[in-house]
Amino acid sequence: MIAVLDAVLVRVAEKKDSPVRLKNELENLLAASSPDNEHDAYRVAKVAKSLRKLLDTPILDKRDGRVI
Amino acid sequence: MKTSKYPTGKAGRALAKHLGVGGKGLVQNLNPLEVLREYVSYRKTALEQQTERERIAAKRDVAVRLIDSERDLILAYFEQRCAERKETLDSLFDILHTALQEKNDPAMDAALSGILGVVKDSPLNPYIKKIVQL
Repeated sequence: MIAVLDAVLVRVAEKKDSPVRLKNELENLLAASSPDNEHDAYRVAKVAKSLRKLLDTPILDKRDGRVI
Repeated sequence: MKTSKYPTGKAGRALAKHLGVGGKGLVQNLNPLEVLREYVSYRKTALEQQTERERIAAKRDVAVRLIDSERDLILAYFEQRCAERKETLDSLFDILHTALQEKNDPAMDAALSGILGVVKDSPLNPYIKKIVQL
């Protein structure tokens, strides 16, 4: 069980780190983008959508109604 | 040769002393054969129980060793899997960073899909059934 807890901690760190990195990329992209440029808007939308999906990802999965 | 007034000898004397008043008569009336038979029966049961205890202890040791080896296996698996995932994510974020700087949309899409794919795939998945059983 301790081994599994270690894995959960790594997963939590990964789940925390990835959105932060993607958010930084999005902020950089927003700073470098022009609101009039539709290609820039596309990239911003894509990265923002991915960030939302990343945030929606559960830390642990559910099986048989139990959070694991 | 000194003969004991107790049919069961030294053990009988000790028992009579232990029983106190009334014990002396009780011990003197004991049938030595019956005592011997009971003693043999006791020894037989004691040996059987000792064997059973040893069998249980051996079974326990095997189970503990099995749990230990399973734990080592799970630890090694998680260690390798987590390192692999970290490396993959680092590479994908590098690709994303470069793609955004170079305004390379296909590379950006690929990097984003890759990042989402890695993060959505929980490293615990193969062990979920096992964890539920714990």
